[in-house]
Amino acid sequence: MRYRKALLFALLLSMLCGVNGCGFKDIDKRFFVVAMGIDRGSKPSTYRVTLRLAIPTSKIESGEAKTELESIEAPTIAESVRHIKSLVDKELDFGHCRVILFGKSLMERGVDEPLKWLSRRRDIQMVAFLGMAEPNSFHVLKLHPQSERYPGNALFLSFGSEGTESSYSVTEYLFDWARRQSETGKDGYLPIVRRDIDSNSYRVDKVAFLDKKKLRLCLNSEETQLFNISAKHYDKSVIAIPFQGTRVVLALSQVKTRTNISHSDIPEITFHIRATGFMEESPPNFLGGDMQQIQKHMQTEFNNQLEDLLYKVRDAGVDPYGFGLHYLATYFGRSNEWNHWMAAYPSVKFHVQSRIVIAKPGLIR
Amino acid sequence: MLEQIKNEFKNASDLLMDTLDNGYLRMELAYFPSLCDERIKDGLLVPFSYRFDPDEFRRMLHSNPKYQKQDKSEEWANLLLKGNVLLEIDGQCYSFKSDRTFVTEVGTTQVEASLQGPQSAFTEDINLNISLVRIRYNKSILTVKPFDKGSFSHTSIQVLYDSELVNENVLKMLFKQMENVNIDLLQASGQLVKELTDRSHRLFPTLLQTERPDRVAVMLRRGKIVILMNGSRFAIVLPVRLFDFMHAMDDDYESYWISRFLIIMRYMAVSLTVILPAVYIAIVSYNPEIFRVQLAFTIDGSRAGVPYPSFVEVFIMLFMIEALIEASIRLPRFVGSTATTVGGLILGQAAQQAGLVSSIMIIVTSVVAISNFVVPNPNFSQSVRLMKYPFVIIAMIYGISGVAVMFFAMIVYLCSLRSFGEPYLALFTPKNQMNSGHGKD
Repeated sequence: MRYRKALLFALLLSMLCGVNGCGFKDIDKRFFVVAMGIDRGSKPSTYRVTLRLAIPTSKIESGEAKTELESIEAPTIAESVRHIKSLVDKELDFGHCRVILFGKSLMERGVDEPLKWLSRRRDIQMVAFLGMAEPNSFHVLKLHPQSERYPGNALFLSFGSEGTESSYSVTEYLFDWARRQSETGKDGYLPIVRRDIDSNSYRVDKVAFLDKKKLRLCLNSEETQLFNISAKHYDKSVIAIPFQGTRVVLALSQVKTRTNISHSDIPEITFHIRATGFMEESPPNFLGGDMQQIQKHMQTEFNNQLEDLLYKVRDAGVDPYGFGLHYLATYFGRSNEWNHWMAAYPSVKFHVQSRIVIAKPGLIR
Repeated sequence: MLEQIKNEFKNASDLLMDTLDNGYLRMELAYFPSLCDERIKDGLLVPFSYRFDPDEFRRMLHSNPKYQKQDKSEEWANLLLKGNVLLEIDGQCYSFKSDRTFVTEVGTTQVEASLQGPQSAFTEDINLNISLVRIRYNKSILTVKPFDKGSFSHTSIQVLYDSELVNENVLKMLFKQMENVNIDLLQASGQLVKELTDRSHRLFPTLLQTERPDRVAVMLRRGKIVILMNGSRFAIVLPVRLFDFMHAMDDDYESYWISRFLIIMRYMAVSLTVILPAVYIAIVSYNPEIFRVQLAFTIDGSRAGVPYPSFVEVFIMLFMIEALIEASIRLPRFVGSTATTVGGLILGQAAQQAGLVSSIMIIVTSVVAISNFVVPNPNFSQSVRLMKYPFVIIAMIYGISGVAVMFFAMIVYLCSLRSFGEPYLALFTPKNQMNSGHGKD
């Protein structure tokens, strides 16, 4: 009995040796993709996929990060990724692919197919950052920033709140974008990634808006910051107001917004925003130091700025703020309401009611 | 009497047998000089020889508790072997208890050191051990039940318990189990533990061995049963839970937050030492996306020169550290430090520089080794030491999900364990069983 047990155990053990795990691949036999770019191919309905692969070194120094760029064109993304595998010596691993860029021309055509591929692959993390590359992602990914300590570092840090936190860069995750693409009454946005003029760093200071199909509108940097404040409640930013030839700058510390949408033929949207902050730049003896006066002045100016932005977004036919979703959530009626909203959206009216609180006047002497 | 003893101890040349005559009285005397101490001189020989007074001598034989009438001749041999002197006067046989005690001083803690708690530990003498317990548990209800086990060693065993707090079922179960103990030579408490455990193949100890009298007192107060054994400096406590093994006596003596911190740290260390090698394999070979990207690249870079897959690397390092631990236990103290230096510094550093293992693996190994020694109980520490191997094997085949399932399986196994009918992994014991105000661990 005892021997039989031992024999059985030995048999099981020998069977174990025959089993080699399907996913067993050591870390040094893997090629980490740190960034992925998807562009429109040269022929119609083809894609050009660019992968930035990390070459790890044991020592980490600024500017020493080594990467390899592989790019190939194929009718589908899946095929081009498979094809790239034949160009490299190790197994591709998308586990650390934190940045995915779409070329501008691809965005103009529509990004439905790439999104499907990205959502289906289990090894692409849904927390990856998305961006739109201008003019195309190959051009952007080719850049080797001087400050990069380890491969892909510079792009990771530009997004998210780990490295730099700029009010001009918006951050969009893959999961959020996939939701926005399928959500009724809420549209997606993507940061625009370009090369800096001197070609040693990336430049992420604009935002692009899409409807459910393709690219509709690109904002400039100031508008991007305004969008970041109003839509994302981004509080590490500033509100700049022109005043008699100079500019008054309020550094924000807290932003709160609230939206009211009236239920009428042409819905009216009242956008309440409350911004608290301190004066970072102001002319000496500004309005005689009358806080009420200053706040009022800033409020009117800010209302105008924001209303302009909202109308611009409305006229492009996109809804990144999610007003449509808010409307549907507020009023009962399902598809009828939605049709009504769709018809009325191009002519809705915006009222911005801002409340600016200067918590600290920034008095230095 | 001497004739009979002579028959029984045919070849025992160290047995002293003599017939003494002081002119008034004849006394037959037999004892092992090696087993008896000097008390025989003052207790027997002096009153019998030059201070002899027949009345006083008789009175002494009847009133001194060290003298016992021994009528049963079949017990004589046993008495002699236990260090008694046998004497026969006027056809009546007496025994005089004069057994030599080797240990007269209380030991110091060696495997369960404490920072500021009591430093005294049990000794290898059972009488001294009982007195150590009685000093700390100074109550009349402390019951002591003697046993005698080992068909060749005749080791005396004492079972101690608080008769008011003890769980009767456990006590019954223990006595039944004691009946079944069948050992020739009972020399260490570990042997008794093995005999008392109902299933022989166990990954975790279900009986606690301790050398600390203060721990024994605390356990008695909680209604547990303590077994003391002659010749062993470890007491056996039952029934116990897993948390008793993870409890250091210092936890009771330190201030509240410090002891909580230490307890949490200890549990973290145990889970680290069990799963870290497995997690290393699983992450390096199956799911490198779990790391932060910096760490992934660093490990990637440091593993670049390693020729073998990750699990071979793990086995190399684990073998080295296990061999080192084993060597430092067995080696004589003065060579011990050499082993640590050679093994720890030279091998570790050289293995990494030779490209046999990655630098991260060195860190993993040292964390595993250090965390292992955080466990306050040596038995449990050994179990934990063994537990990492199933995890490593599972991680080799199934990756990180295998490790998770294995951890679950380990919890299930722990839940299935019983220590004398009491659940092993019971987090909270009812108040009436545990009213010492001692906290849940």
